[in-house]
Amino acid sequence: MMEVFKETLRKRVRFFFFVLIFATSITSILTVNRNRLPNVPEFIKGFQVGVFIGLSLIILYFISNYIATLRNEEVLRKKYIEETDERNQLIVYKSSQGIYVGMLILLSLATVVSGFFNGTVFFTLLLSLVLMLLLTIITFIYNDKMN
Amino acid sequence: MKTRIQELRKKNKLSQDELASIVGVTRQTITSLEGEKYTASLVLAYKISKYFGLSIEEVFDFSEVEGINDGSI
Repeated sequence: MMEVFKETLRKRVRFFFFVLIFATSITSILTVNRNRLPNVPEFIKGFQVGVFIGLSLIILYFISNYIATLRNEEVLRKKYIEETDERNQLIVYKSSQGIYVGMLILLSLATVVSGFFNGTVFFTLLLSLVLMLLLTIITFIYNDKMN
Repeated sequence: MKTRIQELRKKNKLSQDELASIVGVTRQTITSLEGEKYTASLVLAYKISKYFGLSIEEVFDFSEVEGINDGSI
């Protein structure tokens, strides 16, 4: 059980490391070639840099946290209990339901409202909505088959 | 759901943390169980009862569970 969990954490470290490398590569390439891309407002440029830095710091935190956990059996056991605790899982499940429905409603409203002002934004939000619904259907079918 | 967990835990001189560690849950879960805010799953109920050497019915009070004592089940 603990060996399986250790392997799960190792996979997470590898995954986050890959995400960090990928994000850094994409951001670097796009930043270097910014003069070849359409000009965008300074706010967007600032937002992009902020998101990249924030995301990188969060990823680095998780990577270091997982590595530290893997090196200490007692911390590993506590982390395992935390992640498999049934009450914690119930809280995550119930919160996810509320968050999902809330996001669906807000995204739908935003899609409708944006249609009055900007076609590009409307279609972008509509595509996001369609993909979200598609992912929901696929996930439901998958979980129905698996359980 | 009412339980005797707190009574049994104190009788065995265990802290919430210790009991949580033994049955593999967080201390907050034990607190919620003792505070009757959370109902344990079958597996957790079995683990706790087995640790105290009692049956599930001796640790967890099912008298207020709908349908069990009113003859409908």
